[in-house]
Amino acid sequence: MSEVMAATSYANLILESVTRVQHMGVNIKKVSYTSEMSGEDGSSGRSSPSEAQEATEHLENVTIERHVPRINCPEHIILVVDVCKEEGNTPYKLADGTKFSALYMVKRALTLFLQNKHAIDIRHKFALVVLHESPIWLHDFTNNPKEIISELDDIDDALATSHCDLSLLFDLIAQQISLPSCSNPAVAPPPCVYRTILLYGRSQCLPQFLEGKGVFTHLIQSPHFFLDVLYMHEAPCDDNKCEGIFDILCGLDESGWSYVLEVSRNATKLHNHCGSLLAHPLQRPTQKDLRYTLGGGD
Amino acid sequence: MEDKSSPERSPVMEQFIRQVDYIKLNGFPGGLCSDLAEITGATESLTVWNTRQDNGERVEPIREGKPRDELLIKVPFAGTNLTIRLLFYLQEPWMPPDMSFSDIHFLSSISIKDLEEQVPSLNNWNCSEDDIIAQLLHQLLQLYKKYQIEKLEDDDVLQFEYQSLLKTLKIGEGDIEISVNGAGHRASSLLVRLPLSLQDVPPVLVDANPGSATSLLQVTFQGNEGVFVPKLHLSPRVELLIGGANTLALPAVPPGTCLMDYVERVLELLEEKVRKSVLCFETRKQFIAQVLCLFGCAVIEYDAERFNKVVLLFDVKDFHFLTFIILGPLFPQQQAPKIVLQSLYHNSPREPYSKELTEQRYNPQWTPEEMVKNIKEVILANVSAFQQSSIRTS
Repeated sequence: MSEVMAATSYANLILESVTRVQHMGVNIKKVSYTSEMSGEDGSSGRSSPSEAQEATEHLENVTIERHVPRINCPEHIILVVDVCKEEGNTPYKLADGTKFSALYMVKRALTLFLQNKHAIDIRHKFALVVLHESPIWLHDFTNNPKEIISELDDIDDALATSHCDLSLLFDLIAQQISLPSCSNPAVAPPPCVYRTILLYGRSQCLPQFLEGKGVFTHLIQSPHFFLDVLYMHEAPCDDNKCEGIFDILCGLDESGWSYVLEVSRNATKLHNHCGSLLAHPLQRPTQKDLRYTLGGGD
Repeated sequence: MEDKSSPERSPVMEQFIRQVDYIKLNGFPGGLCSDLAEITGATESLTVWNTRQDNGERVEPIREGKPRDELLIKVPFAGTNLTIRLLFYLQEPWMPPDMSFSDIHFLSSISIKDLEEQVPSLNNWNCSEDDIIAQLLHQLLQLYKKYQIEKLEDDDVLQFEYQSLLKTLKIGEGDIEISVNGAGHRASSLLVRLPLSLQDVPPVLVDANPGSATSLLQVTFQGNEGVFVPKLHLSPRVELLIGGANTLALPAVPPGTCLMDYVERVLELLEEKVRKSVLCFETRKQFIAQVLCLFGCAVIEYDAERFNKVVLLFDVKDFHFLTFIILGPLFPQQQAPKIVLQSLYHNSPREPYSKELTEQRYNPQWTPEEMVKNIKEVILANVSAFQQSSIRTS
């Protein structure tokens, strides 16, 4: 994009409201995950060349259109925190040897997420849901991050349940929010958008829609509702179901605009992912197109 | 304020006072200044009225009124004021109020015929109408305006200036108020609505204030040499765009300055300010577009309406951090983009650790592309120090 064009029309081109983006299909998330698992901690998360090429050859190009103007309207973010602690749950180990429980790290990372998101725009609001037996709407929308942080501090982990019913979660969310209705969503900027960030922490329990996907489908088809997933898990092995769970979570991205991120006990990477999740859903690139590296000779 | 021992006001007076309060809030119909200088209830200003002297003569009220029968209304006009005193016949509600004015010559210039034709509210006085006071004031003001225009015939210089303003600015009689001085006291003054159009201004720059976009120039004459003192009034919608009226330095008025030339200069000054604001907006837009062009794959959020801010996420040698780029009101000519790096990992103690990069080369003549390239260099030069201090501070 190094052509020189007339300044204002060039600016408008960049900023125009509807963008067509080539996307290589949601399974690319799976490819990068797989290669990373073999590369263990510390890797930057890019798939190895051969696997990426394979994905390119086997997957069809899917075109994804934005259906909403790229406006930074206020976000109403629903943080869904999984508090189930499974047997054999391992802690995060930092470089200096100190250990922290998984829930503690989530709280730390979310604290920074909330503070940073608030610093970006004070209009953004946050709600807190805790995921255990059934989801609990712990704190209603507020634009004061301190309120959510203080609720987070009080959360304790709990014994893992045998199942995780996503239908209940999306039922609860649907009850608590009212999606904006715009007569012409492709042009009219919405008053706000809703984004659910699901922080799932189990390695043994497959999340399922035990009561059907009706409500979920209804939410996800709205151009003003977004779902992101951050999957925090044990190191994948034969004894756990990390891969299968990740498959299911990737499958939740029906629109192609979700971010589905995963991390295994790497504190830095956890915080980096929370950084990615700061991005406004109407303005951010697709996950496939993310390029954060800043360097002279990249 | 009210004398506690006096009986309460009648409901009719209460209603009139409510109407006056409404006018106070919502603007005076037909006047150039929609914010009234002062509207006072009777009891407060009765003392003012009784002690004021006009030209050495004691002003005789038409009829002795009790405080609860009257309203004193001070209306801004042509940069000065006209006080209208209304004295109501509360026992005979069909009777229109008696009136007197701070400009005593005005009253004596009005004929019965004038009142009948031009102040019809008096003939059809209906005290239960919701806006009877506003109607009356509006009609009286129009009459007063006519009276002033007639007075102009005795002042050739002022008459000439009035006509020139109408012609040069291509405005109508409704856009000027003029107050011609009486013999010796109170200087002449005029108030002119400048034809400053905000038509080509992107709506987002003024939409925060939905009122009218009015620019008024008040001119007070001193002596007979044509010397005048200017003052600018801007409505909030205009001030939102170009700054407060008192921050704009009006050109000096050396003796011999022609009024018409001066008014044209002021109008040009305001138009230039509007153009500059719009240009700043366009420049910000181009800058943000350039940032997105280069770093679109790292964008977190940006201000897509006013283009004041863009937030990016960068990774330098596996160290991730946020970058805020903020464009202030003096960008680009007098202010470089503000660059703040912010941590994803460390609080200090209650907020994420952040650091503003203040040492950067900057040239307002650079193209947006050059500015963005420079920002990239500044960030790269400072990242490692930022990383070190964020660890130390947490």
